[in-house]
Amino acid sequence: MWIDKLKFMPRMNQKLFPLILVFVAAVSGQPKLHVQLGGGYYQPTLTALNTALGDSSFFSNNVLLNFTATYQVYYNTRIGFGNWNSFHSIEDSFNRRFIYRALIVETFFFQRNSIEFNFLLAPMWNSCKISMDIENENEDWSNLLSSFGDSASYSFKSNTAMSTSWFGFTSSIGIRYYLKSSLGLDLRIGFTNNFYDKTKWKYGGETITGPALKLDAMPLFRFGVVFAK
Amino acid sequence: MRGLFFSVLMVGILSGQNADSVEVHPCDSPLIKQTKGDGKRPLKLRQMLPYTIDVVKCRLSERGQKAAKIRDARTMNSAYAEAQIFKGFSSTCAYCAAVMVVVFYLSSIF
Repeated sequence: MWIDKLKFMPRMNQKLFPLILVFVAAVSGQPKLHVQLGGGYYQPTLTALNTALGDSSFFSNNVLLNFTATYQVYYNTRIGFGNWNSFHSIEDSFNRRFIYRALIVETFFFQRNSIEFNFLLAPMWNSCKISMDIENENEDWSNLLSSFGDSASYSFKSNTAMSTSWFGFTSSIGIRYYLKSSLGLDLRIGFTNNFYDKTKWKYGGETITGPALKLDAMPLFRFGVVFAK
Repeated sequence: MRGLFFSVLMVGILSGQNADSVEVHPCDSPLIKQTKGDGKRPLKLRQMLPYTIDVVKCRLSERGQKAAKIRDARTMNSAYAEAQIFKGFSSTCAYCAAVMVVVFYLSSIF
Protein backbone atom coordinates (compact mmCIF):
# COMPACT_ATOMS: atom_id res chain seq x y z
CA MET A 1 0.00 0.00 0.00
CA TRP A 2 1.17 3.52 -0.75
CA ILE A 3 0.36 4.54 2.82
CA ASP A 4 3.07 2.16 4.12
CA LYS A 5 5.65 4.19 2.25
CA LEU A 6 4.86 7.20 4.43
CA LYS A 7 5.81 5.45 7.69
CA PHE A 8 9.27 6.94 7.61
CA MET A 9 7.82 10.44 8.07
CA PRO A 10 7.25 10.39 11.87
CA ARG A 11 10.82 9.07 12.35
CA MET A 12 12.20 11.77 10.04
CA ASN A 13 10.17 14.48 11.76
CA GLN A 14 11.62 13.57 15.15
CA LYS A 15 15.04 14.62 13.89
CA LEU A 16 14.07 17.23 11.36
CA PHE A 17 11.52 19.24 13.32
CA PRO A 18 13.89 20.43 16.11
CA LEU A 19 16.47 21.39 13.48
CA ILE A 20 13.90 23.37 11.49
CA LEU A 21 12.70 25.02 14.71
CA VAL A 22 16.23 26.09 15.67
CA PHE A 23 16.93 27.40 12.17
CA VAL A 24 13.65 29.35 11.97
CA ALA A 25 14.19 30.79 15.45
CA ALA A 26 17.73 31.88 14.54
CA VAL A 27 16.60 33.41 11.25
CA SER A 28 13.51 35.19 12.58
CA GLY A 29 15.40 36.39 15.69
CA GLN A 30 17.58 38.74 13.63
CA PRO A 31 15.45 39.94 10.75
CA LYS A 32 17.93 41.75 8.54
CA LEU A 33 17.78 41.30 4.81
CA HIS A 34 20.55 42.96 2.81
CA VAL A 35 20.29 43.34 -0.95
CA GLN A 36 23.30 44.67 -2.82
CA LEU A 37 23.52 45.95 -6.38
CA GLY A 38 26.86 46.92 -7.79
CA GLY A 39 29.76 46.32 -10.05
CA GLY A 40 33.21 44.92 -9.90
CA TYR A 41 36.58 44.80 -11.60
CA TYR A 42 38.51 41.57 -12.19
CA GLN A 43 41.28 40.40 -14.48
CA PRO A 44 40.63 37.17 -16.35
CA THR A 45 42.84 36.18 -19.28
CA LEU A 46 40.40 35.67 -22.16
CA THR A 47 42.88 36.05 -25.04
CA ALA A 48 41.96 32.76 -26.76
CA LEU A 49 38.25 33.56 -26.58
CA ASN A 50 38.59 37.18 -27.68
CA THR A 51 40.81 36.20 -30.60
CA ALA A 52 38.21 33.66 -31.73
CA LEU A 53 35.35 36.13 -31.36
CA GLY A 54 37.38 38.90 -32.95
CA ASP A 55 36.19 41.60 -30.60
CA SER A 56 36.62 42.67 -26.99
CA SER A 57 36.38 45.69 -24.74
CA PHE A 58 37.16 46.75 -21.19
CA PHE A 59 33.50 46.26 -20.23
CA SER A 60 33.29 42.75 -21.67
CA ASN A 61 36.66 41.67 -20.26
CA ASN A 62 37.00 43.24 -16.84
CA VAL A 63 33.65 44.46 -15.56
CA LEU A 64 31.26 42.40 -13.46
CA LEU A 65 27.67 43.30 -12.63
CA ASN A 66 26.68 42.11 -9.21
CA PHE A 67 23.55 41.18 -7.30
CA THR A 68 23.79 39.85 -3.75
CA ALA A 69 21.14 38.98 -1.18
CA THR A 70 22.12 38.04 2.36
CA TYR A 71 20.23 37.43 5.58
CA GLN A 72 21.56 38.14 9.06
CA VAL A 73 21.25 34.90 11.02
CA TYR A 74 23.48 35.77 13.99
CA TYR A 75 24.84 38.94 15.62
CA ASN A 76 27.87 39.02 13.32
CA THR A 77 26.92 36.67 10.53
CA ARG A 78 25.01 36.83 7.29
CA ILE A 79 24.41 34.04 4.81
CA GLY A 80 23.09 34.40 1.31
CA PHE A 81 23.52 34.20 -2.43
CA GLY A 82 25.63 36.25 -4.80
CA ASN A 83 25.58 36.51 -8.56
CA TRP A 84 28.22 38.21 -10.74
CA ASN A 85 27.79 38.53 -14.50
CA SER A 86 30.16 39.40 -17.32
CA PHE A 87 28.64 40.01 -20.75
CA HIS A 88 30.09 40.19 -24.22
CA SER A 89 27.67 40.73 -27.04
CA ILE A 90 28.66 41.12 -30.68
CA GLU A 91 25.99 42.48 -32.97
CA ASP A 92 24.56 39.83 -35.33
CA SER A 93 27.05 37.33 -33.99
CA PHE A 94 28.04 35.59 -30.76
CA ASN A 95 26.94 36.35 -27.19
CA ARG A 96 29.19 35.33 -24.34
CA ARG A 97 28.17 35.33 -20.69
CA PHE A 98 30.11 34.38 -17.57
CA ILE A 99 27.98 33.75 -14.48
CA TYR A 100 29.70 33.48 -11.11
CA ARG A 101 27.33 32.27 -8.38
CA ALA A 102 28.36 32.15 -4.73
CA LEU A 103 26.87 30.77 -1.53
CA ILE A 104 27.97 33.46 0.88
CA VAL A 105 29.01 33.24 4.51
CA GLU A 106 29.85 36.74 5.69
CA THR A 107 30.88 37.93 9.11
CA PHE A 108 31.15 41.55 10.15
CA PHE A 109 31.65 43.93 13.01
CA PHE A 110 30.99 47.62 13.50
CA GLN A 111 34.08 49.71 14.03
CA ARG A 112 31.92 52.80 14.56
CA ASN A 113 28.23 53.51 14.59
CA SER A 114 27.89 53.55 10.82
CA ILE A 115 31.08 51.82 9.65
CA GLU A 116 31.13 48.07 9.24
CA PHE A 117 34.05 45.82 8.35
CA ASN A 118 33.05 42.59 6.65
CA PHE A 119 34.75 39.33 5.74
CA LEU A 120 33.38 36.98 3.12
CA LEU A 121 33.99 33.33 2.33
CA ALA A 122 32.02 31.68 -0.46
CA PRO A 123 32.15 28.51 -2.51
CA MET A 124 31.15 29.18 -6.13
CA TRP A 125 29.39 27.42 -8.97
CA ASN A 126 30.28 29.23 -12.18
CA SER A 127 29.39 28.85 -15.81
CA CYS A 128 30.09 30.26 -19.25
CA LYS A 129 27.79 30.18 -22.25
CA ILE A 130 28.59 31.18 -25.81
CA SER A 131 25.53 31.38 -28.00
CA MET A 132 24.33 32.71 -31.31
CA ASP A 133 20.92 33.39 -32.81
CA ILE A 134 20.78 31.88 -36.28
CA GLU A 135 18.34 33.12 -38.89
CA ASN A 136 17.91 31.25 -42.17
CA GLU A 137 15.36 29.84 -44.61
CA ASN A 138 13.87 26.38 -44.41
CA GLU A 139 12.13 24.80 -47.39
CA ASP A 140 9.95 22.45 -45.32
CA TRP A 141 8.64 25.28 -43.18
CA SER A 142 8.05 27.42 -46.27
CA ASN A 143 6.10 24.60 -47.96
CA LEU A 144 3.99 24.03 -44.81
CA LEU A 145 3.13 27.72 -44.43
CA SER A 146 2.38 28.15 -48.13
CA SER A 147 -0.01 25.15 -47.94
CA PHE A 148 -2.00 27.22 -45.42
CA GLY A 149 -2.05 30.16 -47.79
CA ASP A 150 0.86 32.13 -46.24
CA SER A 151 2.88 32.96 -49.29
CA ALA A 152 5.10 35.71 -47.83
CA SER A 153 8.82 35.10 -47.32
CA TYR A 154 9.68 33.99 -43.76
CA SER A 155 13.02 33.48 -42.06
CA PHE A 156 13.40 30.88 -39.33
CA LYS A 157 15.21 31.56 -36.08
CA SER A 158 17.07 29.19 -33.81
CA ASN A 159 19.65 29.45 -31.04
CA THR A 160 22.75 27.33 -30.64
CA ALA A 161 25.05 27.40 -27.65
CA MET A 162 28.12 25.87 -26.11
CA SER A 163 28.47 25.95 -22.35
CA THR A 164 30.52 24.77 -19.43
CA SER A 165 30.49 25.03 -15.66
CA TRP A 166 33.02 24.68 -12.90
CA PHE A 167 33.56 25.09 -9.16
CA GLY A 168 35.31 28.04 -7.64
CA PHE A 169 35.95 29.89 -4.44
CA THR A 170 35.98 33.54 -3.45
CA SER A 171 37.04 35.50 -0.43
CA SER A 172 37.02 39.21 0.29
CA ILE A 173 37.36 41.81 2.98
CA GLY A 174 35.45 45.04 2.83
CA ILE A 175 34.17 48.16 4.43
CA ARG A 176 30.56 49.33 4.45
CA TYR A 177 29.39 52.82 5.29
CA TYR A 178 25.75 53.15 6.28
CA LEU A 179 24.22 56.43 5.10
CA LYS A 180 21.04 55.35 6.89
CA SER A 181 20.15 52.18 8.73
CA SER A 182 18.55 50.94 5.51
CA LEU A 183 21.07 52.23 2.96
CA GLY A 184 24.81 51.69 2.72
CA LEU A 185 27.81 51.85 0.40
CA ASP A 186 30.04 48.81 0.21
CA LEU A 187 33.65 48.53 -1.00
CA ARG A 188 35.56 45.25 -1.12
CA ILE A 189 38.87 43.78 -2.12
CA GLY A 190 39.32 40.07 -2.61
CA PHE A 191 40.04 37.30 -5.04
CA THR A 192 38.39 34.37 -6.80
CA ASN A 193 39.85 30.98 -7.52
CA ASN A 194 38.37 28.91 -10.35
CA PHE A 195 38.82 25.28 -11.35
CA TYR A 196 38.05 25.81 -15.03
CA ASP A 197 38.76 22.93 -17.42
CA LYS A 198 38.72 23.66 -21.16
CA THR A 199 37.98 20.01 -22.01
CA LYS A 200 34.58 20.02 -20.30
CA TRP A 201 32.54 22.19 -22.63
CA LYS A 202 29.23 20.90 -24.01
CA TYR A 203 27.77 21.54 -27.42
CA GLY A 204 24.47 19.87 -28.32
CA GLY A 205 24.97 17.25 -25.61
CA GLU A 206 28.46 16.36 -26.84
CA THR A 207 31.62 17.05 -24.82
CA ILE A 208 33.98 19.31 -26.73
CA THR A 209 37.16 21.32 -26.13
CA GLY A 210 36.63 25.02 -25.47
CA PRO A 211 38.93 28.03 -25.30
CA ALA A 212 41.95 28.05 -22.99
CA LEU A 213 40.97 30.65 -20.39
CA LYS A 214 43.05 31.62 -17.39
CA LEU A 215 40.63 32.05 -14.52
CA ASP A 216 42.46 30.22 -11.76
CA ALA A 217 43.38 33.12 -9.48
CA MET A 218 41.98 36.57 -10.08
CA PRO A 219 41.98 39.74 -7.99
CA LEU A 220 38.52 41.19 -7.48
CA PHE A 221 37.40 44.69 -6.52
CA ARG A 222 33.77 45.38 -5.88
CA PHE A 223 31.62 48.39 -5.19
CA GLY A 224 27.93 48.31 -4.41
CA VAL A 225 24.90 49.98 -2.92
CA VAL A 226 23.27 48.02 -0.11
CA PHE A 227 19.61 48.13 0.80
CA ALA A 228 18.81 46.70 4.23
CA LYS A 229 15.40 45.76 5.53
CA MET B 1 -11.49 57.89 -20.18
CA ARG B 2 -10.71 55.07 -17.75
CA GLY B 3 -7.73 57.04 -16.42
CA LEU B 4 -9.97 60.06 -15.82
CA PHE B 5 -12.49 57.89 -13.97
CA PHE B 6 -9.83 56.45 -11.66
CA SER B 7 -8.30 59.91 -11.08
CA VAL B 8 -11.72 61.30 -10.06
CA LEU B 9 -12.32 58.27 -7.82
CA MET B 10 -8.88 58.65 -6.20
CA VAL B 11 -9.34 62.39 -5.59
CA GLY B 12 -12.79 61.68 -4.19
CA ILE B 13 -11.42 59.11 -1.75
CA LEU B 14 -8.55 61.34 -0.71
CA SER B 15 -10.61 64.48 -0.23
CA GLY B 16 -13.43 62.54 1.41
CA GLN B 17 -11.24 61.51 4.29
CA ASN B 18 -11.77 64.58 6.43
CA ALA B 19 -14.87 66.14 4.99
CA ASP B 20 -16.83 66.78 8.18
CA SER B 21 -14.58 65.50 10.91
CA VAL B 22 -12.20 67.12 13.37
CA GLU B 23 -8.68 67.50 11.94
CA VAL B 24 -6.71 64.44 13.04
CA HIS B 25 -3.01 64.13 12.36
CA PRO B 26 -2.43 61.19 9.97
CA CYS B 27 0.01 59.65 12.49
CA ASP B 28 -2.86 59.53 15.03
CA SER B 29 -5.19 57.77 12.60
CA PRO B 30 -7.35 55.14 14.35
CA LEU B 31 -6.39 52.68 11.61
CA ILE B 32 -2.66 53.06 12.35
CA LYS B 33 -3.32 52.74 16.09
CA GLN B 34 -5.39 49.64 15.38
CA THR B 35 -2.39 47.87 13.81
CA LYS B 36 0.01 48.74 16.65
CA GLY B 37 0.30 48.04 20.34
CA ASP B 38 -0.83 45.10 22.45
CA GLY B 39 -4.42 44.96 21.27
CA LYS B 40 -3.60 45.12 17.57
CA ARG B 41 -6.24 43.80 15.21
CA PRO B 42 -6.02 42.93 11.51
CA LEU B 43 -7.44 45.40 9.01
CA LYS B 44 -10.46 44.65 6.90
CA LEU B 45 -10.01 44.67 3.17
CA ARG B 46 -11.89 47.96 2.72
CA GLN B 47 -9.65 49.59 5.38
CA MET B 48 -6.45 48.79 3.49
CA LEU B 49 -6.55 51.80 1.13
CA PRO B 50 -7.35 54.44 3.81
CA TYR B 51 -4.69 52.84 6.04
CA THR B 52 -2.06 53.03 3.27
CA ILE B 53 -2.97 56.66 2.60
CA ASP B 54 -2.65 57.48 6.32
CA VAL B 55 0.72 55.72 6.52
CA VAL B 56 2.08 57.65 3.51
CA LYS B 57 0.71 60.97 4.83
CA CYS B 58 2.17 60.26 8.27
CA ARG B 59 5.58 59.35 6.81
CA LEU B 60 5.67 62.55 4.75
CA SER B 61 4.60 64.80 7.62
CA GLU B 62 7.17 66.62 9.78
CA ARG B 63 6.28 64.45 12.76
CA GLY B 64 6.66 61.29 10.67
CA GLN B 65 10.08 62.40 9.42
CA LYS B 66 11.25 63.11 12.96
CA ALA B 67 10.01 59.68 14.08
CA ALA B 68 11.79 58.04 11.12
CA LYS B 69 15.06 59.80 12.07
CA ILE B 70 14.75 58.59 15.65
CA ARG B 71 13.99 55.04 14.46
CA ASP B 72 16.95 55.20 12.06
CA ALA B 73 19.36 56.28 14.82
CA ARG B 74 17.96 53.66 17.18
CA THR B 75 18.42 50.89 14.57
CA MET B 76 22.01 51.95 13.85
CA ASN B 77 22.84 52.12 17.56
CA SER B 78 21.31 48.71 18.14
CA ALA B 79 23.24 47.19 15.20
CA TYR B 80 26.44 48.77 16.53
CA ALA B 81 25.80 47.51 20.07
CA GLU B 82 25.14 43.98 18.85
CA ALA B 83 28.09 43.71 16.47
CA GLN B 84 30.84 46.00 17.78
CA ILE B 85 32.82 42.92 18.77
CA PHE B 86 32.90 39.43 17.32
CA LYS B 87 30.87 36.80 19.09
CA GLY B 88 31.18 33.03 18.80
CA PHE B 89 32.46 31.35 15.66
CA SER B 90 32.22 34.44 13.43
CA SER B 91 35.74 35.65 14.27
CA THR B 92 37.19 32.40 12.88
CA CYS B 93 35.52 33.06 9.54
CA ALA B 94 36.79 36.65 9.56
CA TYR B 95 40.41 35.67 10.33
CA CYS B 96 40.25 33.00 7.65
CA ALA B 97 38.98 35.46 5.00
CA ALA B 98 41.48 38.16 5.98
CA VAL B 99 44.46 35.79 5.95
CA MET B 100 43.47 34.33 2.57
CA VAL B 101 43.14 37.75 0.94
CA VAL B 102 46.43 39.00 2.41
CA VAL B 103 48.29 35.83 1.37
CA PHE B 104 46.79 36.03 -2.14
CA TYR B 105 47.98 39.61 -2.70
CA LEU B 106 51.37 39.00 -1.09
CA SER B 107 51.90 35.92 -3.28
CA SER B 108 51.00 37.89 -6.40
CA ILE B 109 53.52 40.63 -5.46
CA PHE B 110 56.47 38.38 -4.61
